[in-house]
Amino acid sequence: MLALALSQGPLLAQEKDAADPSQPAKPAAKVPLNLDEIYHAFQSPHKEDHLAALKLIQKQPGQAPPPLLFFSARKLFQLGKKEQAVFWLMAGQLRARYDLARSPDQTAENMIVLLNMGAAKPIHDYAIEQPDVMIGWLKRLLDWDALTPYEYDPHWILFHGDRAKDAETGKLELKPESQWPQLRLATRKTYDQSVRDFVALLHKENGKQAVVFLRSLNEKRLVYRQKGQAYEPTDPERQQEAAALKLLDRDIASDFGTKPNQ
Amino acid sequence: MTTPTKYQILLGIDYYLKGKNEVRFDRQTGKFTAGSSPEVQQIFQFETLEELGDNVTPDQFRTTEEPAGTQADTLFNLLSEDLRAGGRLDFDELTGWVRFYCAAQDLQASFGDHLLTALTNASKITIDQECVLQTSETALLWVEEQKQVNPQPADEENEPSKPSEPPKKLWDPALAAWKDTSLWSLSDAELDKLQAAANTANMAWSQNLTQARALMTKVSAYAAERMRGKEGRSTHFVIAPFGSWAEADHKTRSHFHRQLILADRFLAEGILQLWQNYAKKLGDTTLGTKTDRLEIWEILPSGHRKLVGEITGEASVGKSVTYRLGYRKLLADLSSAATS
Repeated sequence: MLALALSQGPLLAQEKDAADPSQPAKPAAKVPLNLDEIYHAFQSPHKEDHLAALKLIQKQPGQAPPPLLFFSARKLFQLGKKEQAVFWLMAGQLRARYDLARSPDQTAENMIVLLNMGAAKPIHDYAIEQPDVMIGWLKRLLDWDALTPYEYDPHWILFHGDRAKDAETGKLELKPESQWPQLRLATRKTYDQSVRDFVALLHKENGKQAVVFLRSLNEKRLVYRQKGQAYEPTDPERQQEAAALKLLDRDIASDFGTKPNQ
Repeated sequence: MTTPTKYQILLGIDYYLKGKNEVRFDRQTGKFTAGSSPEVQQIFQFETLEELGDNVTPDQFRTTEEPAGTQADTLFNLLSEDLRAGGRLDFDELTGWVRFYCAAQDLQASFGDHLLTALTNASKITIDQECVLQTSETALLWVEEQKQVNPQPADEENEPSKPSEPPKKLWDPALAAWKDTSLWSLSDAELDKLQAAANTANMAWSQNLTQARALMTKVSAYAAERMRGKEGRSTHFVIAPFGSWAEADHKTRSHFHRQLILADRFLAEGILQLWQNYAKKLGDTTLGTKTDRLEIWEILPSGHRKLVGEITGEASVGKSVTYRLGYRKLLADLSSAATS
């Protein structure tokens, strides 16, 4: 029962009891998530429709493709449920990253950047000022991910990179399923460490300044790369830059708005 | 007498956004004055465009914590090209940049208008012949409005733009051609004709027009290069809600095309409408080249994309220069729309 509660993630405020892992929720009926229905509900001008759609998603979150998790986060944020929005944003990031890891075409990362910097930008702006919210959700997110089955079609990621045409004609497929467990493990580990490093930096540098610092460092690094050189941190900043460079070395860093334009 | 460069103007805006609304532009020294950090002071050590030249780097441009990386990169890349090509104050563009800059900072578009007026007043910028030369009809109107609303004191060094003298008089007999169309949309033949008229009407204007044309040629090549992307790749302009936008290269198909990918159907439809209005207003040259196409896609909850609409350009390659002005205006408005 605890597993079920965890797999549902944090629910809407009015379902507070069910969101508490110590208060197990009743098993939800296995009803396929109707994405068309969700799509139309999200376009509705009525807040009630948004809430209803969010409840549907949160009953079957495993069926929600990562972009829908991003959109859910955005809706929650618009409804004022900011902390929950951070959780679902992180869930979208983690699962989108895993899907990208399963794709042979890494150029599809642009879509993840777009989802982060577009649909989720206000949540990012909020999250970087509230690093404790992010770190607070991290363990629960990883538990949620471990316990929530992957019941959506992961092929969506193939349609956003340079080889999108190949995906349309069936020439591009996901990597072999035998590699998936290893890729998932690696993605989770990288995500976990990246969030920890990012939050540590946020505590040192304070919100937006940390993002600006990372972006600036990333740009410096790119300039050096273009010249065929490796960027060496300057002495006074060595320790902090070295830690930040480690974070930037992970592709997942772009999820935090630090590498928006690569 | 020094006219502020666009670069300096943007720095002035930067000051303003930082709350230092006591910005003053000293026309004698060519410098803004305001309380500033050491790095900003360093930037102002460059007094001329030539000095700025290759010394300008994105890091220098980014004098505050904002704008965010993507916008700063874009601003820097586009502006530095202009600066190196001899770009000067252009109110039409400036308005767009101010709006874009504000939108990039999640500020309301109307704030951009307020800011522009405030900055102009604070900087005591007067409109001289050279400035007006590089503006379109929009700027001409803007100049006239400014002069009516905020008459400039007589300035001996600023002849012949006396406040009592309607700007129209300066431009006869070629003004008519300018008022009905933008400089950027004139063909080479039309520009030749305009230049011939300028030669007889005003030698200084003729010289400036020559400079403006040289700038346009460079910008045209630059715009074409950007549109084509590198190594045969097309450039996809990905515009996201809330004013943030990114640009990514993808492998080319057989033609240039751009994509706007949006996570919100209403925004996608709004932007499609906006683009269509631009296409209508600016004519068939808006989209640059004959093979150019704009696609607007929406991201669905499934993660797949749905084509919301597309527009195909009909213009000749030779007129791709007009793309720049239209595109910049468009960007400014898109950003405003996305943040409103």
